[in-house]
Amino acid sequence: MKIPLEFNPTGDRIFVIVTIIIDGKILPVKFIVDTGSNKTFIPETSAAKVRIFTKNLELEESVLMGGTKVNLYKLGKVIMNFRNEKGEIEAIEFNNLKVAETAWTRKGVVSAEMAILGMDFLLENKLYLFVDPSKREGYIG
Amino acid sequence: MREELKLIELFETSSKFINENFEELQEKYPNEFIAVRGNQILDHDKNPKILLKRLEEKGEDLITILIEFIPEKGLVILY
Repeated sequence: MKIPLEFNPTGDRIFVIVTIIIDGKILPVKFIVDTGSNKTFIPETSAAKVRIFTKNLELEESVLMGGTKVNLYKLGKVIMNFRNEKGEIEAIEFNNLKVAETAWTRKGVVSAEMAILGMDFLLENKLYLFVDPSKREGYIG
Repeated sequence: MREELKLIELFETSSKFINENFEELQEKYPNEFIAVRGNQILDHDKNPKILLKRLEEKGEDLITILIEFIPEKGLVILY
């Protein structure tokens, strides 16, 4: 199995587009793939598209991200659908998806509200990441 | 699974549109969130919650819309 990744214009950031099945609802999300993060989460504005609000979720922990305090709420088990190199859907279960809510931002700091696919996702599913930025080639396998 | 594939493809088109027009978008919407469906910008705002609420009030199908932050020129987002 290979799940191709997308690069940004400068080739120094990698993305993957996924549909998440939450309580029977489909939510497409553009994730930044970040091996520097040990958490996988979606922003609250993404969750709100399918009427999932942080006020109804359990607060798991808070993290500091570059001048912004982010609260992470437990969303729990979801199915994440990726498109593989054959153009077919690859459904992968994930037990630790979280919803991120900006608690506060230091004055002058911009909160970009991104979805992050972190190491916890790769670890739980025993997946690996291959990236060759100079060739703009990357995939999850 | 057909619907999932269609949504992934739609988001890919929206993402490609942002990538290909990034410099122009930085000029027009610095430090704003833009709402994109395919090759069309539907709306923009500095606050993503307000943007989402406005799109909902307009009756837009929210799950088909990619909302992305456009940093001003020279601003690098670290996360």
